[in-house]
Amino acid sequence: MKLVGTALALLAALSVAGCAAGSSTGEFEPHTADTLTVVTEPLPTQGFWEGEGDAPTGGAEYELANELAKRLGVDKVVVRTEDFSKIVAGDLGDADVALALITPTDERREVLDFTSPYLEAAPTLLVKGDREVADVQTAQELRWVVGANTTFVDIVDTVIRPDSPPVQIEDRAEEVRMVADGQADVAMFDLPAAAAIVEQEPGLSMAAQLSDSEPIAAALPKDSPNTEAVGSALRAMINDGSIDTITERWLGGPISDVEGSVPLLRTDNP
Amino acid sequence: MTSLAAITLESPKGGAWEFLVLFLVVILGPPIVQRLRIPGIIGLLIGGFLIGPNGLGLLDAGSTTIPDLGQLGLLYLMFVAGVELDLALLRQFRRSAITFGLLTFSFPMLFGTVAAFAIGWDTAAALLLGSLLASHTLVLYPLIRDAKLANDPMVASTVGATVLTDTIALVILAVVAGTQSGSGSGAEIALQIGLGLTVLGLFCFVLLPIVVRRLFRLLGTERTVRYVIAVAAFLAAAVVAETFQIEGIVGAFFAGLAMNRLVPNEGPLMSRIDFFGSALFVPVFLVSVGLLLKPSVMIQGETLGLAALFIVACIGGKFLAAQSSRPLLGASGEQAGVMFALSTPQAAATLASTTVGYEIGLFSESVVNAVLVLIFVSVVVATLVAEHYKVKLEIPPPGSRAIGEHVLVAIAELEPAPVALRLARRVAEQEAGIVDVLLVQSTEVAGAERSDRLGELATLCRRLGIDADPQIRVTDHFARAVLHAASDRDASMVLAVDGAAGRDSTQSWADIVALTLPAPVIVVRGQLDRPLRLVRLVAPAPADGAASSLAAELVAAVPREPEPMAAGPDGIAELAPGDVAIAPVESWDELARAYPPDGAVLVAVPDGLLPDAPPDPAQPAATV
Repeated sequence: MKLVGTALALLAALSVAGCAAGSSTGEFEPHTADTLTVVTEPLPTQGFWEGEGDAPTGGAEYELANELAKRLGVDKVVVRTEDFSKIVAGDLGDADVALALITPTDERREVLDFTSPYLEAAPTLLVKGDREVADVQTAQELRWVVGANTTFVDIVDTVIRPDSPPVQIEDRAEEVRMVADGQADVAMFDLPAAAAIVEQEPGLSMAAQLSDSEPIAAALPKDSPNTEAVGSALRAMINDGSIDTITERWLGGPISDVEGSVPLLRTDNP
Repeated sequence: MTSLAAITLESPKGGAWEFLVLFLVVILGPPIVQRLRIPGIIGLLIGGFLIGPNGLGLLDAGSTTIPDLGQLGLLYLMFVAGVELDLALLRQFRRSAITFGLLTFSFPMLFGTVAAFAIGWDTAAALLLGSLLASHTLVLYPLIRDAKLANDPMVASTVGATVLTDTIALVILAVVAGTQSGSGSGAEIALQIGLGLTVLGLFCFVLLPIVVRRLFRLLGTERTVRYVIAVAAFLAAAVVAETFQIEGIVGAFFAGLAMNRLVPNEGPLMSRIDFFGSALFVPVFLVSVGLLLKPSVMIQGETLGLAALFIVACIGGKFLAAQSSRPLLGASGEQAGVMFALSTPQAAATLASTTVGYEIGLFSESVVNAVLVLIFVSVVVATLVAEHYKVKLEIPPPGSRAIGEHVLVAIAELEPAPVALRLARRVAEQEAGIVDVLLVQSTEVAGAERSDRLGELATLCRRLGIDADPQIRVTDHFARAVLHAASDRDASMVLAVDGAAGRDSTQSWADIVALTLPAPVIVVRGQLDRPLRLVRLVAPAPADGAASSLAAELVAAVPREPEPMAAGPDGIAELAPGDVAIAPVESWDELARAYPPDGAVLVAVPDGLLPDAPPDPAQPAATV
């Protein structure tokens, strides 16, 4: 009798849970059938998105997108590009997900949904040649260039406090070019991105990294029904080592090795 | 004049701020919910939500301090879950504990797995859900124990069953997580997991106890070092597990089970482990789980539907298991009610499995939030049921206590102490019990000398691997002091170390204690400082009677084969230096005359000396 009662309660609960039927990791409902549409910055972003125009040829986040599609059960990946400022303002167009080295902030959370981070990266100083930047006093004297609308604007403003205001550039490649050409002394990138740039631009080097890492996560349209599914897939990729394999392949080795080779910027006052 | 506008204030952030917020939750969360008669764990979960990015946003969205520390807290929680389980109860009530353990695991496991399949989950997620519903945490055991129901056979069986349910649940977690993170063919993954569990089992249950015991003796002279050794032990087990791609919490739990005997529940080391666990590690884990709590997700139809399913599968399964104990184990309705209340709360193992399931991408946020609802409901329902049945269940008579549960060593002279302390340690280890040491000193001994002796005794205890702080009683009424201490500490056995002082008296203080105390009193006479495995053990042939069986228990605790001993005074007189004799003494005269030759030790087990009605310990039994 008690067994029957429990079975009936279970059946009732099953009918209540009917709306949850599907997957324990969340259901993926792509904007375009059987397609994962990804938006990122204009190509290339060294190490993360290689290629030109809307035709990526490789890169860590590109591979990530393909692996994500596989795990979400869709066959096709379509990549669109958009200015970073538009992406972080919540304008993803018809994209299901944005993969563009985005750090979740409270402001961005108001217009976007974020997954758990798939990378942790320290803000890193990119300089020309072997210039040494041992402490924040030295960094203050340099001419800075930072990506517009990135979290680096705030970090440079509050942590470095340079003597002259940093130049803000929308285009990541232009930032790198300014440092390489000597128009700016230093730029700030996430450590994996800086490592990839240095790998491709031997004239540049990573002078220092800040001690506090920033999380990098996938962004989805606000209140997207896919946040759980994409988040679960990314966590599974972290767990089974897929993300480590991808970043090792494109960023010149394990991130932990690169981290260990870049000195910390001393930010304490003398 | 300085303008106030020149003062700049920064919004609080960084490690100090995050820890401050964390500790405020630890301080305020539990007492607030406990006023509503809800266990404190819920207060920590809600507090975690409140301070997190989904609540008041006191912590930065990208902060990793508390989540990272929470991972260590999770390992700590599972270690504590293993180390504080009462394995003695599992041994004592083996049949009913295993039967109930299988029942209370199987029903929720079956219901949870079937329900998950029914809503379309894959096999790994369905099995993990079933196993996490099948485990339970003894959240309400203190309530039942305080109602004096701990000795009820069905209560004890439920406590013993917890070892089984949590172990099986964690093995399933290891297998499921292994299949998710492993690469290669199914056979290769199975081999990896099988090999990993085998190596982990050997490491935890064979190597770890030996190494930890030795480290306790070699390095554990300081309390802090003993604690750090215990922490390092479970971290080592977690590392071994992770080396084979098994979740670290499985290693931590196994380490807890393996060190169960080395860390007695009532002992000082356990209290330190509890202290740090309660103050920091476990709360930080619970708060870190609370960070995942999202009301917007929790009130979604999907989450509530899942929660309803989990609740019915879990509570229904636990209910059926408890009811099945009536025909299968002969439990009464009230006993079945208490068994249900004890085995239903979902907390430590459930949270651990859920967190791992989330981290490996097997569970979504909806599942995590649905499990949090389940935890809340299971604890509240079980609390109500426990309150209802605890007053209806008849209080059982006090059960027979194992002699090693709480051994009091009463020492008047230091020279004969080593053999008694060694024997006490061995006996206590058999039952995962504790040793208390009491130095009884006459008022005639000068204060400085008493302090020196106490220091020497403390050093001796540490050298012999006994985790105890010797206490001193200054009295001219030795017997009364020991009686008071034994009553006060509810000693299960007293080892009275009797020096030569009583030899010329008509009656020694130890004899008085043996005459007066209702707990077994063993009188140790003679000096020998040698490991028990190196002594010649002498004992008379086994015989009927309480003293003989008690003597047999002591003999069993000594790692030597006993050699035959002649009965009575002749046997004692024939002892040689280096001999330790364990013998019952059957008369008052025999005990009064039972002093071994120099260099030998007599462990005398008095028989038939207890008075019919033990005197009131508050009154002096005699003056020695």
